[in-house]
Parts: sequence; C-alpha cells; structure tokens
Amino acid sequence: MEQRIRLRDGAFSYGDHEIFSGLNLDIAPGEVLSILGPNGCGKTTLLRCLAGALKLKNGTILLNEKDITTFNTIELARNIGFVFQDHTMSFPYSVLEVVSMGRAPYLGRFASPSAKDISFAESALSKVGMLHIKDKPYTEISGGEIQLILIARTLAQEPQVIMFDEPTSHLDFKNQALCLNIINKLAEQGISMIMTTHNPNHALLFPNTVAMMNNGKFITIGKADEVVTENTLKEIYGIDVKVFSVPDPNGKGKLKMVTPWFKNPPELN
Amino acid sequence: MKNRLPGKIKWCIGLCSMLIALSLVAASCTNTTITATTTTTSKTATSSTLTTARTSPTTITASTTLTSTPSTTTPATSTVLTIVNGTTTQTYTIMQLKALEAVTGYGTAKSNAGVITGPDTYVGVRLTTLLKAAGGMTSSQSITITARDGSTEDLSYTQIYQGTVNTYTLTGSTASAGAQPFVSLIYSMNGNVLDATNGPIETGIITESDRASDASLWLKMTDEIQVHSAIRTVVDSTGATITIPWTVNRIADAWHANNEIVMLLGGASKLVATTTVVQGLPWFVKLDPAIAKIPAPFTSTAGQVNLEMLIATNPDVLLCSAGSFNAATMAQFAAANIPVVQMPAATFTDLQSTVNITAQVIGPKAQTVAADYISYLNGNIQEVTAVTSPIPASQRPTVLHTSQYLVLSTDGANSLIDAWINYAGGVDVASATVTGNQKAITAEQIAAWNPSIVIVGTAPNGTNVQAIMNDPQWSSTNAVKNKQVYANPTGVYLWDRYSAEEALQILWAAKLLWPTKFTNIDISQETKGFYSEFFHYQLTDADVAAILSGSAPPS
Amino acid sequence: MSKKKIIILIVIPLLVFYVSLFVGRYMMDPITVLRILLSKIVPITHNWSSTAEVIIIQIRFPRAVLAMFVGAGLSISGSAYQGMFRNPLVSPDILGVSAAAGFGAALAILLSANIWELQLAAFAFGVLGVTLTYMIARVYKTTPTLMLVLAGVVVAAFFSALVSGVKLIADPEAKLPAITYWLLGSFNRATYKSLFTVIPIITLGSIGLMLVSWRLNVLSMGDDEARSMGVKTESLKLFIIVCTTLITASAVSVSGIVGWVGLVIPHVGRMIVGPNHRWLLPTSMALGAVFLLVVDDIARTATPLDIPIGILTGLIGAPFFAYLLRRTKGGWK
Repeated sequence: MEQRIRLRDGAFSYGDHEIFSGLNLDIAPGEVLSILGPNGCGKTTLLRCLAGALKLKNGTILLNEKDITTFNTIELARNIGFVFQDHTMSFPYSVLEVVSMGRAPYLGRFASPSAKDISFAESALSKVGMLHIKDKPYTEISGGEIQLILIARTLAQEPQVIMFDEPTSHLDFKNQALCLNIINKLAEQGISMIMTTHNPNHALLFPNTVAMMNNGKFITIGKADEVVTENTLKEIYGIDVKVFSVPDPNGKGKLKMVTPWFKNPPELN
Repeated sequence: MKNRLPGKIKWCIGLCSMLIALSLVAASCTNTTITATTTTTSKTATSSTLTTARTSPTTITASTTLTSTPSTTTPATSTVLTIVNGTTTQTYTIMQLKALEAVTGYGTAKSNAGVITGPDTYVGVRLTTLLKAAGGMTSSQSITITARDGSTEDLSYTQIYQGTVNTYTLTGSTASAGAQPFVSLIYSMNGNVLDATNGPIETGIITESDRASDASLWLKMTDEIQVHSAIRTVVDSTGATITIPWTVNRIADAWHANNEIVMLLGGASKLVATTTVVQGLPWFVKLDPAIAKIPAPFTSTAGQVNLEMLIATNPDVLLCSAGSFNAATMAQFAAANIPVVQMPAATFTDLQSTVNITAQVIGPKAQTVAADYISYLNGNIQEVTAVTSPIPASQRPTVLHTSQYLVLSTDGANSLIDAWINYAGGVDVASATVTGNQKAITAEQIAAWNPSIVIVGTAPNGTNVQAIMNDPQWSSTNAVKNKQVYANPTGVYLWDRYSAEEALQILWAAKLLWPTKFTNIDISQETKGFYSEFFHYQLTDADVAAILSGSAPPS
Repeated sequence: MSKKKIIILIVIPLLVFYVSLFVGRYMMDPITVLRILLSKIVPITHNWSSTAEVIIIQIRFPRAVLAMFVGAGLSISGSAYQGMFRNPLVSPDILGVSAAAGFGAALAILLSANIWELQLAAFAFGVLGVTLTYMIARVYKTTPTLMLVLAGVVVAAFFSALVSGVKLIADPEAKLPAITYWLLGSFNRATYKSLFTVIPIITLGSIGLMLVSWRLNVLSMGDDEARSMGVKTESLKLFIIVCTTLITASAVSVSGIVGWVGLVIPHVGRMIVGPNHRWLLPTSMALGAVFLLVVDDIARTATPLDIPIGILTGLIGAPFFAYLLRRTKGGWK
C-alpha cells in the first residue's frame, strides 16, 4: 500500500550532538500520527525533518514514494503544510489576507492571489468555521481563533500532509479539544496529520497512531489504545500513571485518560 | 779581655761623633742660605722687569705670559663691550677688561648636528663679575647679548648664576658637569687674541676639560649685554594682559590666516607649531618649506588641538583668533603654562589690530614691518576709496562672492568680503538679506538677485568658473551672460579671506569692478613688489599669473 | 483598493507638484508661470525675462521632480524594509547605505571632485556599504534578520567614523562646510542631468518592489513560516535589498541624507490602507512624494537661505512619529 510518508533509519545531529537515530515510520493517507514524548526527546526536530525543513544526517524520507530531498521549496509547500508552535504577529493583516498567503506555492514570483485563489482561501476558512471573521484584523482575535486561522492557511496550500508542532500549547482547555477535533475531522478528508505532543491525554483523545519517543528513540509505535499504557508512559516520563477508561456517552467505545499518581510524593528539599 | 777601654778613648769617640753631626747640620744650613739668596735675586730681577712693562697693578698668575703683539686691529682704547642695566651703561676697552679679575678654563662647543669643537683654553672675565660691576641682576630678569653682526643670545638668571646649562661628554652624550659651568666674556683663546671673525670678545661657557656645552650658547663678536626684565606683557583683543617671555623665540599659531601674518612680519623662523591647513597651502610651503616640517597640533576643525603635541613643541606663546577655544581648552593651556594671545577677525580694522598685536609678540623688528604694512594697506584703501566712495549705490555693479561651486553659498553683511566689495566700488548682492560668512543659498535666490559680477574664491578656481559658466541654473544671470565670472586670486593665503594679502585684494577688486577708473593699477607689479618687500621672495611672471588665477605654483 | 483611493493617490501628488512651481522667493504672477510652462509644449511669444524662465524651467521644475522621486523612493524602501524585517521601526538606512554614501560624497568633496564624480562616488559607496553588510550577515547560506540589522549597525558606524575623519582634515574655508551641508541633505543642486540618472534607477527599483509586494506579506510572517509556504526567502530578501539599495543610494547621491521620510511615511500609509503591501507600497510612494515636495517648498521659500532638508524632515518627522506612537499606544493597528 502506498504510504504518504516513509521514514527509514532516520538520524539527525546538531554538530556532534545526536538528536535521534535509527527511526522508522510509515504514515498512510488520512492517518493521524501523534508523536508523544517529553520535552527534549527530539520530536520537534523529527517533525521538521519530516517536513523537509531540516536534512537528515542518515536515512531517507520518502514523500509519496519519492525521496524528499528531491523536492524543491515550492513542491514541498504544495504537499506539506506546517503549523508552527509559535507565531509572532507583526502587522494587522485581515484574516482573509493571512489565509490567502497559503496560496503562495501556486503563485508566480511576481503574482498576487487571483479571485480563484481568494475563493480557495475562503473555503479553507469555512472548513475551520472561521469564515465569519474573514475581514477582521487577525491581531484582534482570540488565541484559539488564531490557531484555526493558521490551520486554514495550511489548508489553502492544498497539502497532502499537515504537520503540527505542539498545536495545543497556547490554547485553553476548550480550544485544545476543539483544535484536536478539527485535526481529526480534516484527516477524515484524506489529509495525513502528524502532530507532536507531550500530553498523553491528547494522544488518546481520538483514534490514531501514536509513536512514543524518548531520548531520540521510538520505544513503541502503534494504535493509541494499544501502546499508551502505564508501562510505556512510565518508561518515557519516569513517573507512575494510571490509565483508565469510561464508556463514551455517544456509545461508540470508550473515553480513555491518563492521570499521574505518586507512590511516594517527592518532598521539598 | 776585660771590657775596659780607657776613659780617654771613650771621650774621643764621643767628641768626634758630635763634631761630625754638627758639621752636617752646618753644611745644610749653609746651602739653604745660598738658595734663598739666589731666589731673592731672581725674584727681584723679575719684578723689576714686570714693573717696567705694566702700567697698572695686577695680580700675577704663574702661567700668565704675554708673548707677541695682539693681532686684532682694535685700538687698545676703543670700546669692545657695553653693559646696559636699566639706566646704568658701562663700557669697557680691552685693557679695562683685562684689568678685571681674569679667569681661565676650558671650553668645548657642541653644535646641533653634534660636531664637537674643542677643548680649547680660554681666558676672559666672568659675566657675573661684569654684572656685579653694573649693579647686579635679580632672578626676575634676564639678559640679551648682542653681537656685532646683529645676532643675539638670551641667558636666564639660573643659567648665569646657577650654571643650569646642558653639558655633554666630548663624544656628544649628555653628562652632568662636575664643576659648575659659568659664562665668560672671552678675549683670549689658546693663548692668542681673538681674530675679527670671533672677537675681540666672545661669549662662551667654561666647563671642565672633558665637558662640552651647546654651541648656541656661544656668541662670537659679542658687542653688548643688556639686562632687562625676563618677561613683558601684551594686551590682546579681549583686553586681557598676557605675560610672555622678553624674547619670543617659539611661536605656536592656531589661526590659519595668522600664520601668513607671522611670515610677513619676519617671524616665520620662530614658528614651532602650525595647522594642517597651512601645511596644505602650496604657495605657503613654496615660500617657507620649513612650515611643512614642524608639528601641526591644529587641524581644520576649529577649537580642536592635540594638546600633547603642542606642549612638546615648548612654545613661548600661542596665537589664535578671539574665542576660537572654549573655556576648558583655555584652562588646559594655562595649566601647561602656555600664554595665549587672542586677536580679532572680523573687519579691516581688526586686521590692522591683529597685525599690530602679532608684531608686538614677535619683537621690535617686527613692529617696524607692521607699521610699513599697515601704511601700505591703508594707503591702498585710501587710494581706492578716494575714487569709489563718490559712486552712488545705483551705479555700483552687483557682486556675488561665493567660495565654491558644489555648495551654493555666499558672504553677506558684516563680513570682510562685504567690506572689500564696498571699497572696490561694488555692492554685495547678498548683504541686504544675508549676514555673515558662507551662508547656503538657493539657486532660485541667485537667479533672483541676478548679479552682474560673480567672484569665486578657493581652489580649484579655474574649474569652478567653468562649471558656473556652463550651469543652466546660473545661465540667466548677467554675470554669466556677459562672461563676468572671475576666479579670486590665491597666494600664500586666500586673498579674499582675512589674509595679509587683503592689501592686494582691494586693488585687484577695484580694478576688476572699475577698470577704466583704475588704469594706474598694475596688479602683477603690485604683487611682485609686495612679495619682494614683505616676503623677500622674487616672483616670476609665471608665478604671478598662477597666483592671480588662484592656481597652485607652476611646477 | 477602491478606485477612489487610487485616483486620489495619483492626482494629489500631481496637483501638489503643479502648485509647487508657483511657490518660491522670486515673485511671479501665476499667468506668467503658466505661459512659461505652456511655451515648452506650444509656441508662445516670449514676453518674460530669462530670469523667470530659468527659475521655472531650470530651477523649480527639476527640483520639484527630484523631491517627489526621492520622497517616493525613500518611502517605498522604508515600507519594504519594515515588512522584510517585520519591524515598524526600521528605516531604509538600516543596512548602512546612507552612512556609506555619505562617506563617498565626503571623500569626493575632499578630493575636489565635480558633481558627477560626487554623485557616482556616493552611489558606489552606498552600494558597497550594503554589500559589506550583507556579506557580514551571511550565515550558512542564510541572512537572518538579526544578523542583517547588527551588521548594518556596524557598517554604518564604521563609515560614520570615516566621515568624521574626512571632516577633520578638510580645509575649513570651503570643503568642510560643503561636506557638512551635503550631509544634511538638500535639493538645491537638482538639475536635469542629475535627474536623468536618478529617475530611471528609482523607477526601476520601485517597480521591482511593487512586483513582489504580495510576497512581502508572506515574508513578513517570518522566514520559517514563509519558507513553509514555498517562498524562497533568501532570494526574495536579496531582491528586496538590491531594489531598495539602488533606490536609496541614487537618492542619497543627488540629495544627500534625508532622514525620517522612510520611517514615518509607511506608518501613515498603514493608517490609511492597512498593512497589505500590495496597497501599502504605492500609497507610501504617493504620500512620500507629496510630503517631501511640501517640505522642500518650505525649505526653499521660508528664508533667503537654503534650509537643509534633513533638518526639516527631522523637525517635522520626529514629533509626528511621537504622536503616532502615542495614538497607537505601541500597537500597530
């Protein structure tokens, strides 16, 4: 079966400092992959390699069965959308103007968006439910809305993969859930989603694949239900957790969650 | 055998011994008596010889001998040395000098180049002896020694009375003296009278046989010694009384234009510190190549000075234009004991005042030159204004004076430029609305003024004139239409800006503006005459042509 | 952008230009001015003085054109840099073009060059300065924003020091005032010849910037984000730097250093048309042209002297900027 993305034996170092090595991954079309691991395990670097922004030291990445290093900047942008963890605002562009920027890979060097591009942008906005604020300056909307705008911008790129670097880190409780929901819904339309997260509950919220990462290595990859266990979580986080589930009020399966507990709570020194 | 000599024999031996001893004693006494007699005899003989030869009593030193007749043609009765101390004047003939307490010693001179002459033996009279006879000298005084050829030498109180002069070994390295050196008025060298090129009296420094002194402290053909105050005062343009040394030998001049005035007054050799601007003036350097070799602690930036460089030149006085240094810098000069003489810089009256003050600083000879210059300057002004003052404003040509082409600027009212334009019978087209020097104006303003004559100062004047003639923005002016755009002459300094050559500028401008009224003026001749009289430099025709067109010296 | 706004942006500068021709210290009645202007197109009997003609045709006309082009050029450059550096406090001088061009001009004056050599020297050194900045800032085939800014500070400081050195040795009667005056900026020496070199370059540079105006929006999102959207950030930045440097170096070479225009006008533009560079760049050009033209009219008319324009733009620009700061309370809405 054709995989959207294949990672074989991937390794990366900053100078002599090795970040990860010997990693293997397959991501199918429409699949949602969460890379779960503590801060500093190398997941952001891995994500940027998968996006083609960084070059692997060893190993290959295939995008649609083609070596990713053969893609130029524009081709990469037409295939991969990236939602960064931090976005610093500079000027008060309107929401629609921001989303239209996602059409850049399809526009010539000296061109600007045509009516067709604008309508593309608008449909991307409506997909995330933000069309009603299209003319508002994006500096005046809430954090959750900004996140959705940026997602809409990547949608305007008509990508086959969207990568999210810690998509929920600046969001409040409600917006975290909504954001993850959008990610899942978009995946159903055939776009592969890869996100990094350090919160196991987010990895468990929707049925997806989870790759648990620690110190530059995958300790396990597989269906969320199966691999996110108390043992694997203890292995990567070093604390005791309890995984439990309750029936889904919708009646479709279970809601699973994770909570830490302390056998011997560490004292203050 | 028994130790028994007969008593008689003992008695004989004793008696003989005593007799031998006595005769020995008697013999030596007899000899001395003989020598003394001889000495007495010869002494008597000598003294009698001397008595006949000498005319006045004197102390005799064993080594004193008079052998041959003196080679100098100075009659024994004429004055060879004069001492002036306030109101007291004493004269000495050579005989009178010799009648004073004579002192003999060694003297060796070391020139600036390091050439050692000596040691020679000199006989003369201590300067201190002569000074004492003339009433003495105090520590607030110094002396000037003048020679027959006009050269002079100054000595300070400590040099004379404490021997604080530089001493060197006979190979030229600095070394301290064992015995205190002193100044002697010498009349005999190596047993001979001094010849006409050195004497009859020479001032010299007596040291030990293995020490030399600076040749600059030796003065041949010494003629007169004058005792005077060590300092004198000058009143500068701010009204302050500035104390400067009696003789000024080292001048630092921070005012570019004033350097030329110092040269004009004959003081160029006294300049020890100048400005970088002066060193960049081709005619100045041509006339005084030494100016390029002295330090330049002042630059084109007004009020700036490299203080260490200035102090290292050890100036007697600093000349500058009034107000050119701020209070902090003036305090630094005071702390370094450099007297500062400020001079005014705005009008023709100021120019005269500056020349006078500068002359006072340089010395009495300069003041003569200053008087000559000022009468020449005023003479020119009067000659010109006699013709031009009756001309009413409506008939005067309108003149625009600018310093260059790149920046459109001009000089208006209350400037020296406005003054000479008026003397020359013109009117400064900017003076009604612009005041001061080098004010930036617009091209439109120039077109609106429509001057009939344009004068461009500062090199490169030739190219500036061409640029103005070809510039469409100037094309509507009468000056360009009638080809009345001229380069201002530039000589040792810029003729049009506060230089000594303003005296020539007035003539040049008058002839330019009113050629028919000033047919008697020949600028080339005037320039040659001016340079000959005041700079002692003979200009060729090519030189004059270059100066009048504002160009550098022809190579 | 609405048609109405476009019309305003074209018409108002032309109108101000036209009015400027009537303004000046030399009093002329408007009819004469009109007739002089018309006489260049249609034959009319000359009944005015050559002075009047020279003033209108040779002095006011080229000066007004130059003021407009320099104002437009500096403003579009400022807008482009503010977008590229993602910082509204950036001016076109940030990479050192003005300081380096200033040194070129000072050197030319010191060596007694003529006007063409001066213009060329200023232009050449301006370009050299920015090239140095770019080379210093280059790190692993990228030129990060922070490196560019710091390198620009270094290069500007270096050339400023050199200018001070030149001022120290320049003769105080003529060269030093010329250098000082030039550094303060003036349109006094605007002639047709100088226009012929400057106008094409400023026009070309401005067209180049307007072509990439939309991509400037994307670039202003940040290098990483822009790259993820397929923008070749390094070549785009280089293109922008080349265009703005050509514009500013040629402007500085004819008019000296005119500050504040490139900093303040883009803000006014943003207040009117928003931050989208597609509208901001041309709007800045129009606003800058009008602003500098009006300021220059004041500079040459208020007094008999020619007030250096850098002084006026500072006197007007700085307080206006303070007002902007207070009004927007630091946020650029």
